[in-house]
Amino acid sequence: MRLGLKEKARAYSPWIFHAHAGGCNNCDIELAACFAPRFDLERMGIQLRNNPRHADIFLVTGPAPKQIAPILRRVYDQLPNPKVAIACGSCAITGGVYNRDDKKPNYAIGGPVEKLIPIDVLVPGCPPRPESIIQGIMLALEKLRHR
Amino acid sequence: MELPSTISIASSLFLPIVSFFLGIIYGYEIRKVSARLQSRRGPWLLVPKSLRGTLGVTRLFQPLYDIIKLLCKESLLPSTSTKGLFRSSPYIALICVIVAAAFTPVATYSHLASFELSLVVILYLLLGVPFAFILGGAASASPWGVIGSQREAELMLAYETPLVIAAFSIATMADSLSVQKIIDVQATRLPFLLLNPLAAVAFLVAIIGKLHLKPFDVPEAEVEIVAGPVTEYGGRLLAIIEIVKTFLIAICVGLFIALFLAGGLVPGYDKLFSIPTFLLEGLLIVLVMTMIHTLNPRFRIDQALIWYVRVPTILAISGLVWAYAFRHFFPAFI
Repeated sequence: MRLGLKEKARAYSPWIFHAHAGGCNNCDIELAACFAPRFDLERMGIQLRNNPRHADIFLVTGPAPKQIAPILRRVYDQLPNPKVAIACGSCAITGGVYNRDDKKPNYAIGGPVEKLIPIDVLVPGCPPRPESIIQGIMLALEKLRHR
Repeated sequence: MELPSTISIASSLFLPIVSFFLGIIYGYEIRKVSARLQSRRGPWLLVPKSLRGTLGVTRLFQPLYDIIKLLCKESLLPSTSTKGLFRSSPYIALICVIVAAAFTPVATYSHLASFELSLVVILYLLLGVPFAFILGGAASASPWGVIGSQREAELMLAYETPLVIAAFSIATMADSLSVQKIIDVQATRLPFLLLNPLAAVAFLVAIIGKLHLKPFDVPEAEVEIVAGPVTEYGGRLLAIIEIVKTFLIAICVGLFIALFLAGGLVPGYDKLFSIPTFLLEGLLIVLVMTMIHTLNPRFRIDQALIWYVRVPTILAISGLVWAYAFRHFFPAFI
């Protein structure tokens, strides 16, 4: 597959901003494992940046409680275009254990995250294993390349 | 000084490009070596064959990919910032650094380095970079940017003293302020690394502060103050800042090699032979700096200031005293 220099650079050096929106912290631990020796994502030039203005990929974990929901949107807007967003874990996708009954929704949950920001890739699992997070990032890169 | 010829103009335009690519290789080395020391892999030098379709063949130019990616992004301006200053300060730093790169000899090749005061010019131009960062951080109107600028200013006061004193003790020993002349003096005799190791150590430590590597990355302390002066920068303006940092690595390492290792010249060998030795010495110096970067935690700003006054400044001053003593006792040597 031949790529132009722009698409190549975009696919080769994505920087991730990790937004923790509530939740039990387990997805965050699995994400940290992606950057630890075993799954080292820096092999592919992927870096974890704790600054939304530097990042290309917006990775959300957690069910986004009502208090965090507007802030999540604001932080998403701080990423310069082109950008993609990943919802990582069951909580971010559906509300997970925090929203067990759809007929009686949890009063504190402002999510799922898809309602708040445009999400491109969903990574299911409670928590998702590092392998599936890496696959999610690779799928996100496919989208980022054509933005 | 004779009038500049076409060759000298061409070489001074060509040198910044060479030092940019050197900086990219040094930047890759910093990332790779620090990853290896943390028992990670780091950016692949050779991507495994099964992944080459999607991930490319090599990641040797990883910092270059980062820069190109950032150049293709939009840059957001914070609504509260002083827009003109915020937008122009990365370009000020870029101009300073490109001109400094034209003055810094790469493996003894530089026409501008033979100018009588080239060492002073390089040191002043390098001072322009932290100034531009301070301006940009303060203009961004973000608390992180302002705290970063303040720390940058304090750290600059701390590392600039040993850097200048160490550079001038070498100038004293060589009896010249021209970088080319300093290289020529070493080429016939011993390199200044052996004749004045005190100044060499002080200079290396000052460079580590200048490049914001680990014990002294106080201004850009990630996790602590987000990214310091560069917090609000994104997209194209951040790309300019990354380019400036790439240049800065190459210039600082090149200046160290020129001042202390004879610009890669080995006595008794041809001038052309200095190119591989220059590369080797550059990679070695970056290796040492990366080891310090990986194995150390971060200083607090007050600790960094006090440490800089206590150790490298004292070393640099004793290097200067040593240089005068050397000139007094071995006048035939110079």
